[in-house]
Amino acid sequence: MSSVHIQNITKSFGKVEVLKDVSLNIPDGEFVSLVGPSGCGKSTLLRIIAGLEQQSSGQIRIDDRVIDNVRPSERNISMVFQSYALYPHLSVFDNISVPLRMSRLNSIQRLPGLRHLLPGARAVEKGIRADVEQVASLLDMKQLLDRKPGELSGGQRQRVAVGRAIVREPHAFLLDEPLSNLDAKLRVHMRTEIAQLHRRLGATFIYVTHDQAEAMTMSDRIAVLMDGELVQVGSPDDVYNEPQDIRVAEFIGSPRINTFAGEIRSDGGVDLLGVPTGLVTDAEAGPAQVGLRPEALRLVPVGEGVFAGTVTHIENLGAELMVHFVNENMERPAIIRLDHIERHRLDVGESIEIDFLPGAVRLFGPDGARVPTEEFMEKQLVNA
Amino acid sequence: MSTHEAVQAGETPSFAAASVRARMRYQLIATMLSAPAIALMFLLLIGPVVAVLLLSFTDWSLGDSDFNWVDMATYQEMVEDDIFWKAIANTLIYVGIVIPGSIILGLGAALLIESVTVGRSFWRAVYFLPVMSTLIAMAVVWEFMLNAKFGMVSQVLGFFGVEAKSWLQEPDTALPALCLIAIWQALGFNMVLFMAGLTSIPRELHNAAEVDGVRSAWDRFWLVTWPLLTPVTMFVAIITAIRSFQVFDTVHVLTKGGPDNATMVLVYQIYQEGFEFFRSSYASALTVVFLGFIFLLTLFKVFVVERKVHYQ
Ligand SMILES: Nc1ncnc2c1ncn2[C@@H]1O[C@H](COP(=O)(O)OP(=O)(O)O)[C@@H](O)[C@H]1O
Ligand SMILES: [Mg+2]
Repeated sequence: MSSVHIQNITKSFGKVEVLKDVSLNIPDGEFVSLVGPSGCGKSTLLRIIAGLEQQSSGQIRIDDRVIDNVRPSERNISMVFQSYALYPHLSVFDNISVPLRMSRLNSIQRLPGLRHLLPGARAVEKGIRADVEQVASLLDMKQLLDRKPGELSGGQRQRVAVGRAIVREPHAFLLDEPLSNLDAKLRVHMRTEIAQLHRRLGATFIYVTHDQAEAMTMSDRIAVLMDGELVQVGSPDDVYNEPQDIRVAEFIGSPRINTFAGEIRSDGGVDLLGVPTGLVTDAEAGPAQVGLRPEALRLVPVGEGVFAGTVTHIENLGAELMVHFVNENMERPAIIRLDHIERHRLDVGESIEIDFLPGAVRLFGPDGARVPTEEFMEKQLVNA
Repeated sequence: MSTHEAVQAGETPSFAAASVRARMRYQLIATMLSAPAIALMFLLLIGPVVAVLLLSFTDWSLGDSDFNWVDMATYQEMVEDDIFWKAIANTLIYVGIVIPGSIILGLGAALLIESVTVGRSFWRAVYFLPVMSTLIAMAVVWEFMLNAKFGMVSQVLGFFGVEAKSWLQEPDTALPALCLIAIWQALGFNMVLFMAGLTSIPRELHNAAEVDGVRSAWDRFWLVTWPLLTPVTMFVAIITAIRSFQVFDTVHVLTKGGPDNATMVLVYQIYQEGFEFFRSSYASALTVVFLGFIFLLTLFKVFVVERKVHYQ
C-alpha cells in the first residue's frame, strides 16, 4: 500500500479545461472521496491517476515515484469502473483471475488452453485458484464463481468488479461511482460493506461519487470538486460544518442548506433578510449570503422569532419532519428540520416564527467564499 | 377443459362454446389475411425448389416437349461423374481458403485502420473499393495482373526469384489465383463488418484490461477483442461461405472451369450442364446438391451461431 500525491494537475479536452490545478495528497491507507456534481471532472481525475488519460500538466506520484510516463498496466493500481467493465465471455472466476494471470503467467502460458497443459502454468494456476477463492469467500460469492456476468444481478456484478480489484495487492484502489447502478436499498448496504472492506484491507481508497451521502458516510476525508477545481478537502464533519464555499455548503447535506439574502453593514454587523443576526465580521460591507442548515433553525412561539413565514409543505419522514416555509423577502422556500417530538400541530398555510443560533450561521461573500464571523452580544442584536 | 381450468383461463363455462366459435372465426380471418403472402411464398420461393427437385428425377432437356420419370438415374450418373467430384472438391477448397483468408486479412485491416489516427476514412474507402466495383469489370484487371509476361504479380514474384507463369492457365495455380481474387474482393466487406464490431466493444473494457495488467496488443487481442468479436466473426464467416459457394463470375470470365477442370466449381458446372449442354435434369440434380450445402450452412447459422455466441 502506498500514498498517492496529486500535484497541480490540469487537463483540457481541446479548449475545454476540465481540471484546473488540482492538488491532493492522500496518505497511505486513507479512504478519500472525490465528490462533486456530474461533469465536474471526477472521472477524468481518476482516469489520470490510473494512467488511462494523460494530464495536460502536473504530476502524479505514488510514494516517491513519479508515474506520469508509466503505463496503466505498470502502475499497479486497481480500478472499479462505473459500468463494472467485466469481461462478458469469462466466468466470474476467470474475470477475477485476469490480473493474477497477467502478472504470474508469461505470454505463452496465458494463451487460451495452454495454461492447463504446460506443467509450469498448472502450478501457478493452482495458486491463482486459491487466491481467487479467498477473495470470493471474503466477498461472499463463492457460489457465483462459475457464472457469466450476464447471469448476475447488478449487485453481484459490482461484487465481481470489486473482487477483481482486490485480488492483487495494488498501491491504491480507484472506485468510480461503483454504487450508482444499484437500487437505493442495496446502495446503502454496499456503503457499509465497502467501508468495512477498506478497514479490513487498510489500503488506500480513492472513491468517486456524486452522492454526498456516500462521501459523508464512508470517507476519512472528502475532497469536493466543483467545475474542475478542488474547493475543499477535509473530514466529513469539517466539510459539513465549516464549508469554505457556498457551493460546498449547498452540495453537502440533505436537505440542502438554506441560503438567505444577507448584508454586511458598514459597521461590520451582519443582517439576514434585513434582521440583525448578532454577528460581526471584518469583511467589506456589501451584499452577502447567509447559510443556515435546516437543523439550525428553530420553531418558536409567536412573538419570540427573528423572522416569520408561512408553511408551504410538510415532509414527514417518520423520525423527523421537514417543514418548508417562505416569506415575502425570500427567493425560495426554506426548510426547518424538526424532531418527531416537536411535531406541533402544523398545517400547510399556517404562519410560523423562526429563530436560530448565531453560532450556526455560515456567511458567504458575493464571490461565494466563506466570510469569518464572530458573535457579538447576541440577544440585544437579535431583539433590536 | 374442466370447469376449473376454464374458470382459471378467464372464461366461465357457459361462454366456453361461444368463445370456441369466436376463436375459430379469428383463425379463419387470420388465415385469409395471410393467404396472399403464403401463396406468393409457395409460388416464388418453395415452388421453384420443388420444381428443381422434381426435374432432377426426369430426363428432360431444355427444348424437349416430353419427358420420362427416371427415378434416381440422374443422381446415379452424378455419383459416377468425375467432373462432379472435382467440382465439389474445388468448391470446398475454394471456400476453405477464402473464408479464413478474407477473415484474417479483413480483421487485420480493420485493426490496423482502427489504430491509425489520421486518414481512417481514406483507408476504409480504399479497402472498400473492390466491394463496390463489379467483379466482372475487375476480372479484366486481374487477368492483366496475372499475365505471365507483363502482369504485376509475375513481376513482383519474379523479384523474389519465382518463375513467371500464366497463373490462370496452369492447373496448379488457377484455383489459388481465383481464391486470391475472391479474398481481395471480400476483404473490404469483411473489414467494414469488423470495424463496426470493433466500435461496439466498450472502451471501458479495454481500459479495464489495461488496468488489470494487459501490456501487449497481443494479450489485449486475446483477452478482449477476439472474444467480443466472436458474433461478428461467425456472421462474417457465414456470409463469406455462402458467397464463396456461389462463385461463378470469375470462373466464367477468366478460366471457364479450366484448365483441365482445375477450376470447375459447383455453380459453374450447373451453368454448363444447364445452359451449354442443355441437360436440364442433370443441372437440376446438381442444383439440389448445391441447395443442400446452403441449407446446411443455414442450419449451422440458426443452431450454432445464433444460440451460442451472444453474451448477456
Ligand atoms: N474524452 C473526452 N473528450 C472530451 N471531453 C471529455 C472527455 N472525457 C470527459 N470529457 C468532459 O470532461 C468533463 C468532465 O467529465 P467527467 O470527468 O467524466 O465528469 P464526472 O465524472 O465528474 O461526471 C465533462 O464535461 C465531459 O464532457
Ligand atoms: Mg464520472
